[in-house]
Amino acid sequence: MVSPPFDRMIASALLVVCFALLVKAIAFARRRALKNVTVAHLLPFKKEGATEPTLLYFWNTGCSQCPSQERQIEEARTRLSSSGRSLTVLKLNALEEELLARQLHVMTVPTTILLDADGKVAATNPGLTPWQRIVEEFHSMGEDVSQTRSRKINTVKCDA
Amino acid sequence: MRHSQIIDHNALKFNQLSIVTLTTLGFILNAPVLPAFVSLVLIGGSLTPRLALFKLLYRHAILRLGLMRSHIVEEASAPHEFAQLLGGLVLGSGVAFLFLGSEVTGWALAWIVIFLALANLLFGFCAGCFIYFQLGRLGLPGFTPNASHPTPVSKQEGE
Repeated sequence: MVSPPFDRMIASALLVVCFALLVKAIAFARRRALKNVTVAHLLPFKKEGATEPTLLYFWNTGCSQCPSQERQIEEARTRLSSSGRSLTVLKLNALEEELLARQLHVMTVPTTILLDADGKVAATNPGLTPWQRIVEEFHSMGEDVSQTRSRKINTVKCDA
Repeated sequence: MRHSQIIDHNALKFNQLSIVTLTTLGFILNAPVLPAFVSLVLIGGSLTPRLALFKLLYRHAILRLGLMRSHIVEEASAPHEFAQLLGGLVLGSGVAFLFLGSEVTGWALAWIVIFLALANLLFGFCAGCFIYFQLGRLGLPGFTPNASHPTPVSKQEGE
């Protein structure tokens, strides 16, 4: 173990940076792994070929943050419906839906997972998530879809 | 221990920031007295709010000076108090190793506490709370918070 303060300062900075990078890398790998996962067929209330975005909300009894999370989800739904958008919310007990929870890497409750219209994972939020983030993710998902569509249209125009 | 159902998330963040800053400073200056102080504050603060110096500093100085705003969330405080106690005990055992001359083990334990406080501060992952809920799942008495049953959102299972 190094003893002069300057060496220790560098060691501390390196340790903190390495830790932050490690956590970021793990989060990135998990997001990447979930990117092409389609779970619509596993959902108890949803069939394949769904046409609207769905928010999966994993909860469990004894979860202290779940009542707060539900208020945040309700607020997000209210805000979205006031702007003419609708969000279906599926409330799932993380222990009873263990297979689905495992497939979606649910590590904690509450966890909210936004699925696009095809049932693909668009965003995952472990822990208490504010309504603002849910609304933001919903809108950015729409932007992604419209960007893909406009790209397709451009391609058609170029070909023509 | 008396547990509240309303907590200020920014008070917790300031607590974590104090743990990271003071313990890292203790490592840089090779001064075990700093992590020892942090450890005592953590253990004392989890037993009685009057000894939670970082939270008192947050309430009486940081909030009054307008450096941070409170972020009140309706949530059981017990998991966070358990996490704080656990952190204090791990840091305390690290300090004990340091005073006994086992520098590597002592600072390694201190860095575990720093990493876990950082994980909570930067990424919102509370390892102590996770352990608390796992112990609750195993049915250990006193480890399941008295959370009210969640109200339906839009569609419930089995509907």
